[in-house]
Amino acid sequence: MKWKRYLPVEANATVLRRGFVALTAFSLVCSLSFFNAYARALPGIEQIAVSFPGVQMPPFSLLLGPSLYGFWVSALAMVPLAGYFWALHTRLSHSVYLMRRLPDRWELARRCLTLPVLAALFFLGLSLALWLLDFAIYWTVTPDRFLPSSLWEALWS
Amino acid sequence: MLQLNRVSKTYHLTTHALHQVNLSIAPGEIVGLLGENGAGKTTLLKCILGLLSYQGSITLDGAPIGRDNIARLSFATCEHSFFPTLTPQEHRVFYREHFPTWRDQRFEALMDFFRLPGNRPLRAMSVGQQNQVEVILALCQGADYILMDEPFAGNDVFNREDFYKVLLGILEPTETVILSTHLLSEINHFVSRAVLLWDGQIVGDVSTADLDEQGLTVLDYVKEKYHYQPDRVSNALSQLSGEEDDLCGNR
Repeated sequence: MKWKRYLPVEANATVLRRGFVALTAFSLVCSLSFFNAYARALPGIEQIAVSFPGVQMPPFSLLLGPSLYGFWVSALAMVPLAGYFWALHTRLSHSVYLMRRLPDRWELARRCLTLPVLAALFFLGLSLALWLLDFAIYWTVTPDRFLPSSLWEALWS
Repeated sequence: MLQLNRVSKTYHLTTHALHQVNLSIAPGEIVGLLGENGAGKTTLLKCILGLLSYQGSITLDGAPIGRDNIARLSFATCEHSFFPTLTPQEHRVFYREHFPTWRDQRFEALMDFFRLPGNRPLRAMSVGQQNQVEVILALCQGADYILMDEPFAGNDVFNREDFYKVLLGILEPTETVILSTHLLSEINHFVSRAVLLWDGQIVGDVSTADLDEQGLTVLDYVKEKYHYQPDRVSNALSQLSGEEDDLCGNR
């Protein structure tokens, strides 16, 4: 299979696939904490507004909390993964000698770095996409009277 | 022609593994790289392959060794450079993909001759078999210069002898072998030239034909160059037994 050319020769593709799925699931579960915080804040603010008119929704950044940390942790986990891929070439034998004397100078780097770099970009991209989705929900679902006056204020105040 | 000019290698700023090594190796030679542990044999081979940085210059037919000509060198090492979880057949696919000069027929013939299982992962083989596959891969890569670093450590004497014979039989006139080994008595009829390293420097370089003329073996030559004292062991033993006698006398 062509994509195996981008993995260390001795990497176990099944284990890697499972690990990737697990990290994605962990990140997505973490991201649900935003929905939890938002779902609790909205009815609460509606109740408070009865007694305190003019009250506003907490800023988006506060509701977001650590919900995207899972993606960042997963992205950071790609650094030791790259190290592990390199170490595979020195474990039990020194296949790194063979890899380093291949006519294609990028072969070793390609096999050690492609997956970690792509996976890190995937996690960071997914984190950005969810950040936008969360904000879109915050901005469109919250009734206008509870929203801060400006977008910037909604994001950070 | 493989040419080393004033090649030096220093580890940790102070340890001189190689010092101003000059060496020329012509196509077709079978060179025994000899010397005691720590003499610099492995370091020299790794410098040639570009696995270690060094001072000086190493050229292959006048060109520095780089990606353009690295495939003209192959390497078999007792540290093993194969992938342990792959089978010999999977190595064949990998090598064929990366080395256009791969010798498929030779691979098949050698695997058959040594009765090696083609579909068993290398980690499940004995050390002797692993050494054989390591050497076979180096021989079949299609390289002009085949570098071997103690390749038969762990193989029995009959197996090693078979290998030397097979090597002599299959090597083409342009194929060059540089063999680093401790097994001096065995390589006498295999190598055409002996290069002796001592403390990172070349202290001897002789053709085995010249040694034959002088009635010497490679082992004799190495002993002479290393100023080997045959009575060293007996002196040490008699000194030790003398000390023991003195101790017993004192009691």
